[in-house]
Amino acid sequence: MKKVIIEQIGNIIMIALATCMMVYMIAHSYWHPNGESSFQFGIYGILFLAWLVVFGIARVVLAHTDPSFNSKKGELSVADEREKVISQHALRWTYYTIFTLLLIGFMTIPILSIYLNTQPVLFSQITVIAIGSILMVGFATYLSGWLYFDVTES
Amino acid sequence: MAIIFVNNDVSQHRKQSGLTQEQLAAAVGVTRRTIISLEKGKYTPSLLLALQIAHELKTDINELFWLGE
Repeated sequence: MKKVIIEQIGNIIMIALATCMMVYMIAHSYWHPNGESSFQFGIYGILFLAWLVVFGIARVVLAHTDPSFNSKKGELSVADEREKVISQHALRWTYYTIFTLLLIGFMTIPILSIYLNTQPVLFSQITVIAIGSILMVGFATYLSGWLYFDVTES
Repeated sequence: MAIIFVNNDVSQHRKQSGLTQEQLAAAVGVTRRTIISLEKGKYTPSLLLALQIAHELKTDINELFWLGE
């Protein structure tokens, strides 16, 4: 259970920081047709890189303390057949959640683009936030599902 | 007949064999939580795991697991 909690909370923080970094980058960067360009990531870029290092170390430590944690498989690591069943249930929840949200986004973003056609920066930021949010909800759903089925199956 | 779940007597046989949950779990390659869940009847093991447990407890699989309504 510990491996899933650490992995998913780590993933959520990583995507949150990446989303903030990209939203900042969209607002503060430019690329002119004459070749002049500037990309700025702000404090979020530094925080994102710092988190990648911290999270990477945490995963290495976790792999040493919990033999069932496979850093390549991440949150899909399982210790035995019962955990595999729990993981399958949690993945089903995640699948339905992500596809429902993607469907909503698929229908909403074109409408939003019409309303925000004079504000391309805001539209881009909203799109990035929406995609980042879907990923974070996906990770949170997998974690919730795993915890729920771990309790109900034991 | 509607089969609803699989009953088991793993706990009793394990105690008769003088094994702890931890020892049985290690012997069949699962976590202790799986053995706890299985003994409570909340988790139905695969056929492979059921056979491994029966082998480890030196008993017939039908003595350990049976169908319940």
